[in-house]
Amino acid sequence: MNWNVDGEPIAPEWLGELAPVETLYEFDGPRIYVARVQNRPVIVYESDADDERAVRRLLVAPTNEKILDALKAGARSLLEALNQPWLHAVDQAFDHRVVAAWHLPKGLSSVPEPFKPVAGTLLSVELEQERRSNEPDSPSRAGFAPGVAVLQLYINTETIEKIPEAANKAPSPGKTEAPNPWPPHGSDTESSPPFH
Amino acid sequence: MVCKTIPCVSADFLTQAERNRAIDATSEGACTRHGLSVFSTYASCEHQQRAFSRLGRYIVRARLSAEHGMLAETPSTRNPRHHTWWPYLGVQREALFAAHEEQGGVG
Repeated sequence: MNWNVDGEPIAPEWLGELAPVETLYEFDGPRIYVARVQNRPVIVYESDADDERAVRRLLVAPTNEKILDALKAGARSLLEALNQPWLHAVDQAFDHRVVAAWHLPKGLSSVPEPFKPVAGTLLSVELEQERRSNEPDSPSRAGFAPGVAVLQLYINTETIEKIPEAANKAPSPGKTEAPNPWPPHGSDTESSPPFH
Repeated sequence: MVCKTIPCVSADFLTQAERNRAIDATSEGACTRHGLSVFSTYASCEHQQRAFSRLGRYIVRARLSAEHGMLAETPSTRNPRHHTWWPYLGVQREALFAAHEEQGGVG
């Protein structure tokens, strides 16, 4: 991995498989998603990946419907959604086994800049464009027609062969996580309900 | 796409399957894991770069045509510009991409 964890090891079994129950952002697979730990929702962000070791490092924080709704509406940034009462770093093998996990007492401040979202980044570019159009000095707010937003077409979709409709469906939902019989980690911050 | 170096290197253009990721994917996921995620707008790439700075500081672009592989729109609710590109065998993927001239880069 490209960053060293400054945290307290916790039992990986407590986290289960962190299987996605709702994908929030996807490229080459889910990268930001909702999972469940001990039957409670968490937000998962892929912070790093090591192809040679076949392991990726995840940031895992508690979440709830209010936070997720704000994230999806652009009222809360990715960093704000991850900035919760507790934060774990989790090393998960590509076969979904959690191989190591840590509690990060210093929260996001212990995660180096390239391995967490840039401050202010929203969940999607569309939400950011909407935010800009709502700013007080926005041309559209001032009564001017917004400029054409097409910056560059990177793919010539007119000349490339298209895949039939069957390939254009939304991603399939994540698999259901099996009940985890293990007790939660013993610290107060992890055993108390942080989902508010 | 977002790359760590200019010129791009082949490691930046490996599919999930080539990275041995998502080996148990089913349905559409079993197909898309053999392709590469690409975006049709600079803004989408720039957003991805800020969301995942570790991917690199350079946004690169290519003009893909039929000879380079298959392409499908694979949008999701919050990623409507997302496409999947399945390069043909023998296509030197990294050679198709060059730095986008307008970028400043992050991280």
